[in-house]
Amino acid sequence: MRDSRNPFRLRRAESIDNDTTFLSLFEPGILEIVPTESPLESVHILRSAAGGGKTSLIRLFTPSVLLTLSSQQTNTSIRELHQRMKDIGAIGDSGPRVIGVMLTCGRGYSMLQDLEVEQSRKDRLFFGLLNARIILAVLRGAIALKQLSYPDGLDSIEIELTNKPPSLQKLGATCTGTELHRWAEQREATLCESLDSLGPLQAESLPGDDALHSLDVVRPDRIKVDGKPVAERMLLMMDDIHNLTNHQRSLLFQTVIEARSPIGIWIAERFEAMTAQEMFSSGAAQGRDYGEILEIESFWRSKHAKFEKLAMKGADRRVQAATGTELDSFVSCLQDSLTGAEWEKRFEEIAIELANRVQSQHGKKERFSEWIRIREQSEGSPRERALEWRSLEILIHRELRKRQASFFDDDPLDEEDLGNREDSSLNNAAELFLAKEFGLPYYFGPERVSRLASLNIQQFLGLGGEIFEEAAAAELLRRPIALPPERQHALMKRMAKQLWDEIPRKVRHGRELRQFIESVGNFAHEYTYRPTAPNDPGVTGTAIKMSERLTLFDEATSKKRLELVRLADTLASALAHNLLVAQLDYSCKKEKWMVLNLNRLLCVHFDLPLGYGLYKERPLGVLAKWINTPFADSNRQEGLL
Amino acid sequence: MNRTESDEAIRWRDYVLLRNTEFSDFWREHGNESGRKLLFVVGRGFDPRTALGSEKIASIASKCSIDLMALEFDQGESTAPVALGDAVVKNWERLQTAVSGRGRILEQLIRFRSDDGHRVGSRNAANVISSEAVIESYTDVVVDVSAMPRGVFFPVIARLLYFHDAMRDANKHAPNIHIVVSEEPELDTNIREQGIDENASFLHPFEGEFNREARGVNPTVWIPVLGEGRTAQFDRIYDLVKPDEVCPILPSPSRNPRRGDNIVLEYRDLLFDQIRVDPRNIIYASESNPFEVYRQIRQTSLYYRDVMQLIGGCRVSLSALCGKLMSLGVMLVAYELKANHILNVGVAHIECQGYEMPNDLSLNIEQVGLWIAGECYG
Amino acid sequence: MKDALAEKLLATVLGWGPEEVAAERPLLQAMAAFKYDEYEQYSPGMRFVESLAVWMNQFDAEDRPTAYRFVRERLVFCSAREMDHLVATAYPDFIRPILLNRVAAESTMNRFHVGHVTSSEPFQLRQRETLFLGLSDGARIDAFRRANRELNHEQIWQTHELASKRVSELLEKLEKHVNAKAFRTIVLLDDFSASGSSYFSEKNDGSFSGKVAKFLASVGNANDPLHSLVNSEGAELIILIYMATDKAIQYLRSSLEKQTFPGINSIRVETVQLLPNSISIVRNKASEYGPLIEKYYDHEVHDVHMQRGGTPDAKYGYADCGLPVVLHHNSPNNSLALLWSYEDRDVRGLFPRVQRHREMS
Repeated sequence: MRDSRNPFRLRRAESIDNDTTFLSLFEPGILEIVPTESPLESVHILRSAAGGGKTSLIRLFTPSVLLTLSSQQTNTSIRELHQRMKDIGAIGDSGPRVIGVMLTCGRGYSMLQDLEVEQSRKDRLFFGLLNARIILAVLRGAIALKQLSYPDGLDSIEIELTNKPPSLQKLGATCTGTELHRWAEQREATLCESLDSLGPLQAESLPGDDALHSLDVVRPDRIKVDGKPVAERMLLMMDDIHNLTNHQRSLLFQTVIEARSPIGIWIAERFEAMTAQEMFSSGAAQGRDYGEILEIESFWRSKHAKFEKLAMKGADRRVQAATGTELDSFVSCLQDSLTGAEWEKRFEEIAIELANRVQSQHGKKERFSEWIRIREQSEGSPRERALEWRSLEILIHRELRKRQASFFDDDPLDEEDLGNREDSSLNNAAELFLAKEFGLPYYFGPERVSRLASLNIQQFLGLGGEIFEEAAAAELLRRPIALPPERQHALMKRMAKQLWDEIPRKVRHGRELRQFIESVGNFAHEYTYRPTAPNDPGVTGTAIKMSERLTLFDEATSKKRLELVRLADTLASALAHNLLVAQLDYSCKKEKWMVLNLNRLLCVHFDLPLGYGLYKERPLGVLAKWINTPFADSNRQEGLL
Repeated sequence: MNRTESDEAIRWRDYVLLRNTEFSDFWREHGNESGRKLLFVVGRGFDPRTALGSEKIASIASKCSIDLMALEFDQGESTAPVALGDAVVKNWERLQTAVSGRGRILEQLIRFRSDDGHRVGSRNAANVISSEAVIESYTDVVVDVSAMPRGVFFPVIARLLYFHDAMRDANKHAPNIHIVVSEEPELDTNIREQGIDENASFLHPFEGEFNREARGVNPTVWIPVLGEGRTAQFDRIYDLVKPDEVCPILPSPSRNPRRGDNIVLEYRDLLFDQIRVDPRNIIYASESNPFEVYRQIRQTSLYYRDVMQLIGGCRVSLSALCGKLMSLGVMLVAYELKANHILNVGVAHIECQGYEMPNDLSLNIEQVGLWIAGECYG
Repeated sequence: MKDALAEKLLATVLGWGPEEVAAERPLLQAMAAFKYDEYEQYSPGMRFVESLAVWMNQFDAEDRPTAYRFVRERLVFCSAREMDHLVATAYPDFIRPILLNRVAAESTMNRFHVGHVTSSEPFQLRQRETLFLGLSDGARIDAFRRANRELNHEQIWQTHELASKRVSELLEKLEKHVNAKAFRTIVLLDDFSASGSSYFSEKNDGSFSGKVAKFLASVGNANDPLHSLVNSEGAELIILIYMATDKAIQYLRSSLEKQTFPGINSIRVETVQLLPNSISIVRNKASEYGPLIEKYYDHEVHDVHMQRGGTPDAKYGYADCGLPVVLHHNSPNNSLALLWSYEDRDVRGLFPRVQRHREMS
């Protein structure tokens, strides 16, 4: 491997071609997503958007990585990872305890579904192909774990065939790896050569199976080398299941769950596998059908602070892996506050401007005179004072709005009233308003930058890479390494713009989707920046009622209303690409909601705050319209408020 | 990198590539020979190049009989990327006019997605040529790929070649197979795919050994032919192929001698920072000669096959992230190596929902012809 | 010099802050590794980024961005691998089709039936009766041989200036192999031409000078050994230049077409990579680059060789070709002086040329 100037660019698990590097870049905290209950024994479904970190996780359990991990337990950069893998039961003191087998499902299976034969025959072919491949993958895993050579080492493997399935009748009660491999290889070749033939397909004579017999064959206790089982456990990790057809996916899920096999099975897929309907139904509802489902984004969504911390730690690992730099932590690349003489001066000017504005607009109103006096006497720093004035302005607007609605209560407000009305959310809104109004940097500092990952490692590495490149450049020039806030802000804006610009090209239904997101963003922006800062510090998404969600999919699946079909497709595409994040069954105002949050980086595009959880709901019909007719000012459009 | 010469006979070492006046000369001579009966296979689309090839050949080869097989594409999308209905209608009228009175018009619909949304276009495209009977009554089959996506013309041409070879080997009459491209380099450089699929896949019938679990141990070599505006596609195909070795192909010679450099700059982050390609792996091939592209890819593929044999073999995947003409070179290698059992290469590919074309281009279109099978090769 | 040091040097010269460095460094590293570091005339240890810094440092601060843009957007650098590829494609895609057409025209074969023609005996013969000669070291005859195993070693020779002994050997082998007494096609190969005048030009007295002119004169001269390469039926001559400007090709075609040469039936001029006129930076129409080219120039480079190009100075290169072209082994003198100016001059080129008083191309 060539050394890397900027290891953040190694975004994929695959492009790190060396197991040691892979391990040293893997942040152990990420293992928290591994199910705590029998992670290596039962069936688990792993689901995420692209770049969610599935593939890295799977790679961690493959034989060569486990062997490297076992052999380098003294290496400080992987010590924690070693311990965690031990806790999970993947490795022990004497080496790997599990044989992790990765099986990637290509598109090849889906075409079986289009053959002009009856369904039961299609299913037989599907199982036939899958059985062969599972056996091949397991044998290869055994070879790797035992560090035998391929293919000669297959001879050293012995397989006990109890309950021999029909297609293996010709083999003895025990057979060698070579014999079993030959059978599976031939079966696979026969099927693949026919399916991918240059001439028309002849499907009549192709071999198949009635069930997933291979799960019986590859049990850990029945595969031996030198008379001993190759490993205590077997973990079959089936990746890219989204490439299967809906029918095949259901069949696979059902079969592996019913098989109650002693081997662990992980089924990993991207969101796009799911029908729009599945995508918008809660994991709990699906769990009833399929067993444990782990959605990586949803998992971290509930503990996003933790994820963000891990992301920063992961970033440190990348910084440490870079060549030609002395930097050793990512935080040192990020200046965290607007301090220094110049900012002080700037805030002083802003505080004065705001004070003048509040006084000239509201100074004569007796009701606020005490509040204004309190602000005038404030002894905070220039920045604090600027924020105080801005938050006061918001509070005054709120009072004025209340007064429009009700006539009583015109008494002067005192210090206690002010104290009761102030809180951190209001402060955050004031900070956001200040930034927008006076062109101050807002998207900077470790907390916000890691928030912009939007719970997606790949997205985070993209942002981190830009920051690191510039910090390394500063180091080269012997300048201060930490990027000043305005540079961080500018970089985040640029990355947000890039994400935005690429939507039509990179995403299915991209043009419509971007139109839709633009409406969501503009709507959120308009709502957030109202003078009263309702729902402070601001909203970052929209929501529909769960009941409307049902209408959406009923109407869409029955193709009754075209605009709803398009909305469903568009939303599905947004979720698959992590541009919107859905949260289901969210309780609020005595209703259940499906909340659609913008990817945090898109919040930057619309100057929105980065908090999770705040949204402003819209009726389904309005969302459907947004695809064609972009949202304009809500006062005009809907006569709201 | 040293090259090894391959012992296998190279099918398109000599070739018929027709440009400029040669294109017209050829169709005047060849098309007007007595007894010629042509089948045009064209895509029905909005592309301004849709009807040009058929119009030109029909007017030059003014006497022969011509049947037209028009492929209509059903994208199976609820959203239409670009509304270009007018252009589609106009192009279709032009096509019908071009061949009017010369023979039959056959319309074929190719569905790109199955009911549950999976991509099925390539297989359906191959099956348009369902049997030898579809082509046996013609002396020449002309595929105009100008308005066809790669996902259609790769399988269609592969199937035609397959039947051609089978008929020839059985000493039956086998029609000549021609390809026509209405080439506009500016357009090729500026056209942008929209709504790219989330996942890449191997294009039927060129899955190669990539779906073979039994070949999973073999290292993977990826040879993508690069062109402008396809970095996102490159990224996603890379995810599919997961190559151990990448040999990008750049256009040279090229009308614009800086084109290769510009492409490198465009792919710089991917090539040099993300996947860290060794610059010595970069290969050059002519932007205007698909047969040269074919030779370069063939030579590189066989080089890796031979060298990797020492460690149990390798899997080779190709990708055409380039204009139509260079893509044809990819198609020819993939077909030859597979059909002759030399090397089962895969063609990794990613589909999109549509295209965006710059409106303000003044088109300067030239027809390029390739005669890829038949009498000419003896 | 270490990469980091060279990069720092460049950043200092260009007045770059971290922002620009972050944007440009990956790009420079990539282009240097991809191509520019392989320039063979850099003094030992020197690499592209360092050369770029030194080059930029000669310019006033306000001119540096323009100079940098020139490198990023206009420079055409032909690497050894690119050139090798042009060499490899020369025979199969340029010469062989010509021979094929010729053979078909001389027989009853259909020229489009390439399979028939190339497997025919007349073609096999014609291929062997073709002689390939280099016009300069740049012709890369070794690479040409390696790329074309079907051609015989005895029909390819590195120079067109053949000694009499060599001529007889070539002819002996030809007779031995295919029982022929003379070559029917002669191909002259070279790597680069910008003006074409070093191959062929008409002197004031109406006589011709240049390599090709000399070669033609020899073939036509019964007392010259080269004369025996062709017989009384004559031969066709193909001049194939791997990389040439449109101007050079047009010039050679038009000036050679006008003339007849004894022993030669026809002359074709071809190139693999055509350099269109549009890449040139033209005197008086150089737009944004004009001031840079005018301002940074050391007239010392306008030596006697350059003067033959008929221009008042060497700013736009030999004969005002104005090329932005650099070949990996040397910069052509037809390129802008700013690119190739010698290391010991007041203005040093980005890819300094090594002066070996090679004739102008």
